[in-house]
Amino acid sequence: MPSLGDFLAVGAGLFVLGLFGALMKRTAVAVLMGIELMLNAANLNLVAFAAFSGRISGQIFALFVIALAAAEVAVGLAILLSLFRSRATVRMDDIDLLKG
Amino acid sequence: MPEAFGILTLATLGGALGVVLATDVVHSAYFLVLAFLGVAGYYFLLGGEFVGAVQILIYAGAVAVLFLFAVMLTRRRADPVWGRSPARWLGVGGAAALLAWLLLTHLERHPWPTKLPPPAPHNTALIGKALFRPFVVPFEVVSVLLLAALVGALLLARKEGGAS
Repeated sequence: MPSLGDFLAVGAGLFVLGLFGALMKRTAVAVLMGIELMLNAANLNLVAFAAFSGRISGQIFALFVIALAAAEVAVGLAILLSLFRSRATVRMDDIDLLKG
Repeated sequence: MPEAFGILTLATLGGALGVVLATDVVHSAYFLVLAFLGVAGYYFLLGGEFVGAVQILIYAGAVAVLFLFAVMLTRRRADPVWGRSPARWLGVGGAAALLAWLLLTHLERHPWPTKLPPPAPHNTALIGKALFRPFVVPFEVVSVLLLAALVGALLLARKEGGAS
């Protein structure tokens, strides 16, 4: 029977992999994927704590996070499309307009 | 139960590893679906059927399709993670390894509860009641946020200057 710590360990692994992907990938779409992985790790922790404490609030929080993540992905990908249209690139290192 | 946990761990962490290591962004998107489905499996295992179903619908369904559309509409280029500079590998890899080490050692030290309390029989009904009694204000705020995101995404993705 897996304990709460096992679920949290999986969440930690998922978060670290998402962080690594978000910082290492060149394509903006892949960076967004890394961010989604990190959000999923946080959600997994919330639901695991909710289940082991026998309360429902953690699951409600996870639902809110899912709704916010969906909105974030929609806006993020729209920004990406707009950026691709104006600068014809999706590589993160080509987008350095704010660099001094 | 331990077998299900092992299989789900394999799917989730394997999928996440695939997202990071895949050279093609489309393959990353498919691995992402695998990771999302693994996380949904954990939710079912923990007795949160509603959150698991929402995870499959929103993440494995809508978000994954959105990612595939974004890949389709932009230029597809190989993005190998091992092509980055050694300095970046040292910095990012070191930070990620340090974070993993810190989290896992601290998790190991704490005596976590091993016994899952029996799941509530009506998970969805409980969520509905909680959503519309104590959490009704955040619920309404999220609906406004979704509307704003919808209008904002349309505005950003539309061609500039045109009436269409």
